Amino acid sequence: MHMVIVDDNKMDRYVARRVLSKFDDVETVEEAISGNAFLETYYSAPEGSYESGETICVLMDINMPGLNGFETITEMELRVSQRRGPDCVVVMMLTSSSNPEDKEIASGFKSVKGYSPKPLDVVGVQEIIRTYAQHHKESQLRHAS
Amino acid sequence: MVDLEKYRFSIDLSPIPLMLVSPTGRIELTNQPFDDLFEYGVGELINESVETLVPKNIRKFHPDLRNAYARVPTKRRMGDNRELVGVTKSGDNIPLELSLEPIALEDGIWALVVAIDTRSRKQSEERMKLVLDRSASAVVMVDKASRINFVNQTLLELTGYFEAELLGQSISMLVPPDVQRVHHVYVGSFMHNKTARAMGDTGTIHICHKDGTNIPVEIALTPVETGGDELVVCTISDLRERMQAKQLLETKNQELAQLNQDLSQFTYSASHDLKAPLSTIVGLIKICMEDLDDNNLDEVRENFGKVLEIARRSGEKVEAILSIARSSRESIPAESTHIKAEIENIWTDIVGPKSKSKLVLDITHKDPVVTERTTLGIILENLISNAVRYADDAKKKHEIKVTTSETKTELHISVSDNGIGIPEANLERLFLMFTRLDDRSGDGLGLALVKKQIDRVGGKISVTSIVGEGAKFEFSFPKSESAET
Repeated sequence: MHMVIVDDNKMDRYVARRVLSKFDDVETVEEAISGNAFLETYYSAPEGSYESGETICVLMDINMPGLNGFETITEMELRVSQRRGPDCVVVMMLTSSSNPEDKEIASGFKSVKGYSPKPLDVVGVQEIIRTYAQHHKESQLRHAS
Repeated sequence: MVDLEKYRFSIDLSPIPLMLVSPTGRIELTNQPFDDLFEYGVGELINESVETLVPKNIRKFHPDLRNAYARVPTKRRMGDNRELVGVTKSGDNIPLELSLEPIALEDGIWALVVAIDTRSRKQSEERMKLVLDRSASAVVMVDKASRINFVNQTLLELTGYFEAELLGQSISMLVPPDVQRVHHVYVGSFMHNKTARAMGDTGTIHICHKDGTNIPVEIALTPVETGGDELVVCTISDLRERMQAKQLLETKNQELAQLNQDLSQFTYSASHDLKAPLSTIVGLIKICMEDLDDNNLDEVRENFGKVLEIARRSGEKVEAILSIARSSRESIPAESTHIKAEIENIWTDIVGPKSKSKLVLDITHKDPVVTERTTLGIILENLISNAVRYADDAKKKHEIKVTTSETKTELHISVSDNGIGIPEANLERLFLMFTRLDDRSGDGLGLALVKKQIDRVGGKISVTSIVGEGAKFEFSFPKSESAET
């Protein structure tokens, strides 16, 4: 599976990468230092041009300067509908926020499948892999039918 | 001689002061209550002229009045509100109500005079008026025809009229012009079915001041019957103060609700911002422990270095939050300050010896200035370090300009740069705590602290910016009038 870590904090990206590296299921890990950078890299194809491809798994921080995690997801979902990037996307919120409101907002997004506290640990990654596998399977079934 | 015996008997028996006067104005009979009233001995008034009892100033005309009465005798009844004055033996004037009953005898028109001392009634009326005048509520009384026949002092103060301007006038004088027509209908229905009630069940009512302004009031209507007159007493309470208090309360409530919301927002932000570095430290230390097991010591050393750095920065952040919290109440003594030197020191601390950034000073105030040196230092440091951080790498030169000027009581300082500028949408949120607007933001506390400090000392800060051209922060800061030299 292909992971993208979106986090402005370099140390948090480092910790996540180190933990992810222990899992064979995780094939590639990429990093984006902001919501803008993430959209720029993955969702900037011309409108309608993106062909269905691989599923990506995004670990999204909430509290970031510039576009925060939610603003980034809102824009990402718009661009998915415009076929400007991968439509098979599983977003896991990865955050140190203890604000119950944040959890509620997260559950309102179609593409957000889970909520994991920082720092990312082995149990957290197992949960992410399990969630990812479930949605990946569902989306493949959908594509096949 | 006329036979008066039949009168004498009934006059003597009457408890009411009575007197019988001959056609020539001679007092023929009095009873004891009458003598007592005028302070004469029993029978002492007999054969005296009736003018004896008339005040000096009209004594001369009184015979004419008496003769006129004799020519056109009419019954004059009590309660016609004719206020007369009688003179007692000791010369005191007493208020009287008189009724005259003409009695036609063979030698002319005799008059039976009933005299009632109105002093006690007058006194209680006066007392009542005094009480009403002192009343906190304005009172106006109207008769059946909606004419005003009594107003108290409070009403006069409330409406700005003199008593004489209102008495006898229609109550509509006090009704706002736009509701006069419907008021008329209301009055009609009230007069038809009189029960005590509050006016204006349908909302706030107003009365009209002499100057035309409307005053919000509450009015209670009480029907009163007195001496055959049907009156309506209107008790009017001025609601202006109450409404002002209510409005003030509402405003305060809103402020409190806002503060409450701010506080919980602050708590979430603060807890997140304080927790985030701890989460990072936990993550790093877990990795360090794994690396120790693997004997990967170089990695451990590097990561411990990072843990130390994060812990140190977190400590500073807690200090910053604390100083914002404290800044709203602590007062710092003013001291002699060389602002130009302060700016230069701050600049050196921030940019270091070799930097692409250039400082331009335009100092027009006169150093030293007596002001809160440390507070001014915090503000300048934050503004200058922001200006340095948001340099536009696309430009050859990065220039930061600080200007100063002064009035008698204030310093005016601006810090401007030719950096990347601030999008207009962000200007409003710029001074909020924990607001990091882009990747170059620090911890989201600097400008919040600047704003709080400037608010505390009573200064003002504003910002203007054009994206791609730069930003300019201007603020005023109080100083003592005379600088120490």
